[in-house]
Amino acid sequence: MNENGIGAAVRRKEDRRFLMGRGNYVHDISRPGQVHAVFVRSPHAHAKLRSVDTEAAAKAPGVIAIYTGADIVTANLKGVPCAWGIVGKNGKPMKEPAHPLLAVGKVRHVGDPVAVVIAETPGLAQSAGELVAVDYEPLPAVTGADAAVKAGAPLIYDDVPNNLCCDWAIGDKAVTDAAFATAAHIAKVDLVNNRLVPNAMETRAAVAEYDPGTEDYTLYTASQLPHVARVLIGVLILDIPEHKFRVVAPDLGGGFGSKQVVYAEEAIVTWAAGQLWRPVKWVSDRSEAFLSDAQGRDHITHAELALDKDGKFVGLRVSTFANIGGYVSTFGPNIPTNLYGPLLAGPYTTPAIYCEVKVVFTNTVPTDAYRGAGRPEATFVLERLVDIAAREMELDRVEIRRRNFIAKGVFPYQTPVMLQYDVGDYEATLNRCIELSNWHDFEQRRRQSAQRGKLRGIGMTTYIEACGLAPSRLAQQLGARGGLFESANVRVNPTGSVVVFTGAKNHGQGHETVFAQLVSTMLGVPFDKIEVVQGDTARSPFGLIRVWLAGAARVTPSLAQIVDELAWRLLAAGLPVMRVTLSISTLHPQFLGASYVWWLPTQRTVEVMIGHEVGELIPYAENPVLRVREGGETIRRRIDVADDRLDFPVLHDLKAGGGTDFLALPIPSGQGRRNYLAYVTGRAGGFTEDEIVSLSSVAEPLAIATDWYSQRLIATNVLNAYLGPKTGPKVLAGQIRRGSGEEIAAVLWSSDLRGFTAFSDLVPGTRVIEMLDTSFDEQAKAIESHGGEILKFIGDGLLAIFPAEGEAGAAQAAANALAAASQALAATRKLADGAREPGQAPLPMVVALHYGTVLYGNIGAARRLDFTVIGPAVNLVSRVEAVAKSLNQPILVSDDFARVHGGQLRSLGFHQLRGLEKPHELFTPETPAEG
Amino acid sequence: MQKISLTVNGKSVTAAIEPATLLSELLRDTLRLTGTHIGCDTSQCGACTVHVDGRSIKSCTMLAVEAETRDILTIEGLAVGARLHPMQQAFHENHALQCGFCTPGMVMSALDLAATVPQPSDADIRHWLEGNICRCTGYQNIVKAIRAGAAAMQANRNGGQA
Repeated sequence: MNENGIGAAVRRKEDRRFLMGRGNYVHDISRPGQVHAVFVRSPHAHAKLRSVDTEAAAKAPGVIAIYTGADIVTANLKGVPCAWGIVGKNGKPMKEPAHPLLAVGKVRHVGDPVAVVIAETPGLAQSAGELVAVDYEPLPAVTGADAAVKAGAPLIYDDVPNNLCCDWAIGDKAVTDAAFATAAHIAKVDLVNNRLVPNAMETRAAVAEYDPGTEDYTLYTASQLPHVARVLIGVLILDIPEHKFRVVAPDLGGGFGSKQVVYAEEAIVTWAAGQLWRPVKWVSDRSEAFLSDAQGRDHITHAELALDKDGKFVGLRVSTFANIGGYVSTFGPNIPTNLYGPLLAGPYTTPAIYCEVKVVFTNTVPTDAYRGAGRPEATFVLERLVDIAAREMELDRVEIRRRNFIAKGVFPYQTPVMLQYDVGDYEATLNRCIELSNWHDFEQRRRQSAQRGKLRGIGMTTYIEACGLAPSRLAQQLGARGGLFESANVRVNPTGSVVVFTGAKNHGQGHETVFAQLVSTMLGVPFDKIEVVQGDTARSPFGLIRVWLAGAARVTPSLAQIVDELAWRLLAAGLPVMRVTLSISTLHPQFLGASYVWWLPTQRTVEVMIGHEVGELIPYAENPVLRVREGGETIRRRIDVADDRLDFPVLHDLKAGGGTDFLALPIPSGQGRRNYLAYVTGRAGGFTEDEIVSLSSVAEPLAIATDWYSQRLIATNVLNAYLGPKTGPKVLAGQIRRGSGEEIAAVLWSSDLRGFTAFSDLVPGTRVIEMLDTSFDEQAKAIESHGGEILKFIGDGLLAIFPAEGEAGAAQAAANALAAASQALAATRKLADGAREPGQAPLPMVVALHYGTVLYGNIGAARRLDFTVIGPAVNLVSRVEAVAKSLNQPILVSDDFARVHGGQLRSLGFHQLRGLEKPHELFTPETPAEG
Repeated sequence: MQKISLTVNGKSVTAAIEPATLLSELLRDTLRLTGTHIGCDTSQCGACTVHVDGRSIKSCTMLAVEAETRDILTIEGLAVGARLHPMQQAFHENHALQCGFCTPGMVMSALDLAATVPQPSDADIRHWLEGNICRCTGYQNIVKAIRAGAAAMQANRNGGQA
């Protein structure tokens, strides 16, 4: 229990600084020596840029630099990238024209940036900006998505016919049309979901600085997704590697989606800071925000709902024009498609749905994520249709929804538009909503209002949200160009306080409070001892690979899967690996270790067990695995060289497989051991030095995951070797306390060698062990292949059980045990026949079998246990074995065994067993095993 | 450059500024009191609200030189040490803020209301907040907080007399 933990109504941690004026928004950040940027923007929706003359502006007071589209082209800066591409009908990818940081040749919307002026103060930059002379040749413009696709509409891009970015669809058209053909009623609606401006209270802002000494960039930016900004602005636009680019999103004055978009302005101030060696600050003013922040919605939709005579939905057809503005924005095309069509099922059982979306360029500010992003648009369409259908069919609004809800009992429910719902109880939610809203008293309230001359209305809507677009693999199938995931580090300080580092960025939701509550509950640490740090790429985890290894990788079920996932993640991160090998030591009696090899051409990871002999076959000097594991070396070899320069045999194979570069490095493991990690690339020229750094950086976090597995494997192998494959896992699973045992019925096996004492007196000790090993090997093979489990070796004796469940199980266990005994005897006899001199052959053996109930579990001293069996049955079987020796019978079984065995056995009469009162009848198999 | 002297949060301040400097710029850029925010620069959003001689004004539309000899109170001047002003405390208690950007203006505006109308009704509060925009909260909790804050201030005054 925790008074401030999950579910408690605590006061927010972040409030104090906001209430005291101590928040830290980008607007508030000033860096020493900073200069100020102001953008010159197009006043035209569509125009050719004849010329941009900066001469007069450059002479204005305080001006430090002016950059235009030409400078961006000269500097070879990439355009603003799209992070989520879409694929239309017939697999046709969307049109994705370049989005230059500053307009080149043409402007495509009012506000399109044409130049940036950087000056000592914002005022001076503003004044100079007014002196930039831009010669525009206005072109006809089109702003409506439906108008833009019509023949003859002005073309925003010469090579995008009809301004159609993508003709997208989801669902089965034929099935849906068929449903409409037989419908009792069709409700129709035409809707305009108007464009809007997100307008966070804090306008966008950025301060960038560059350290010429370390060549590091820092960007303070009002971003909801600082990690995404780092990759898109740093790596994709400016070619600054991630480790040289820190993005800090401090307190954020609202975002609503518009601040998760990556924009040209932030990229330009970052680049300019590197050019000028002075911090550059830009703060959007409110009017500018209307012209440059990504906007929301802007759909024109015609939709139809088909119903049967009872008001059950049988089909839904939706056709939408989605306006994405003048450029493809970061997530722009994805919003009215992947985040729209799949939500059209809502909470209803509509069996056939078809939705097509024309994603259209116009001369407007680009649209992107805004509050719900696509999903409220889908809800609006669906719920308007439901209300219209209810009215037209004279059904109650509540009733028509109830009739069509997906019932509580049918989850998981597969919709006809891709999504599968895991769980839901819409009826219960609706009932609660009706209760809370006093829905049924509404008519009374309406009448009361009418008496006062007022109009009163009430509305109802359902809403299905698809949040957290994951897992990454699915997101990528939908066109996401990066993994979508979140991660956090929780650091416990030496004196007990806790810091939570998250990649998620708060912009008003109260993460500092909620995450602290979660951690408080989970760790039992007081709420006020927990601090949440977010929004700084240098402090908080991205999680792309390193964090995955330290976290999620450990819940990955096997090392093979870890290697597989690691390889794909490395590829996704741009590291050109062709083969990834992880080799771990397993302390297995038969194997030196296990290797997991991922190989790009097969797209698979295979597990290879390495025998101890491999270490002996390839000498140390030529064996990279041994040199890494035992010598701790890091080995780098270019493979694209002459054969005589390849100093490891394995490199020849890798070269033949198309490899060009090889890197092997040690992964630290417990108790001074090392594991082995190797990469091969097939890229011409091999790995770059930066890639070597990145690939090497994986070793340490990988060690955590690897060690966990290898320790577990070692424990399993050691326990299985000493306790057996059935008992080992029981002990490992926690059955390690004395007294924790169970009564089981089993066939007991007791075997011994004849003449062992004499033999061991005559031959040297190592020869004795060799002989014993040979004999035990054969017995073990026979026992284990027949479902038995060896419990212990006592000198030359062996105790094993064949567990039996029920009567049928007992018969089976008896048959198995007898078969195993015959096999072991035959095998040892064969070895004896083949032996060239006495002393090489295994001694003859006897096996006694008995059926009984034993206590199976931990027995021993409190701190030193044996996992074995005890009970009178154990005594009995060893007595039978003694008789077998004296009778010179290789196989002798008890009366209880004979009873459950049920088959043909030859009685050898009653025998008095030592220490037992009554004589027991003993048997041997009908066909004597020893001939 | 023009030299001006004024009182800010109880302290005498002298500064040399461009005549065109706005009061908001003087506070934020010269005096580094960044708790006063700029949301629109056109007197619409109210994030920049401060008190001049006890009355709330939007500092983005007042020239700094007009503040010569006057007494300015900003959000930074409300708390006494670590103790929040009752209005700040009421915002905290009633979850009247989310991203916090409009909050300083809301609080400063609310204080003027509480001084003008000691026991404001919800209608008084809503009408008064016409000039303060919040994009996160939907205002419900802000109204609740101001009512509670004004009541707490009233109780403090009565308590002081008793």
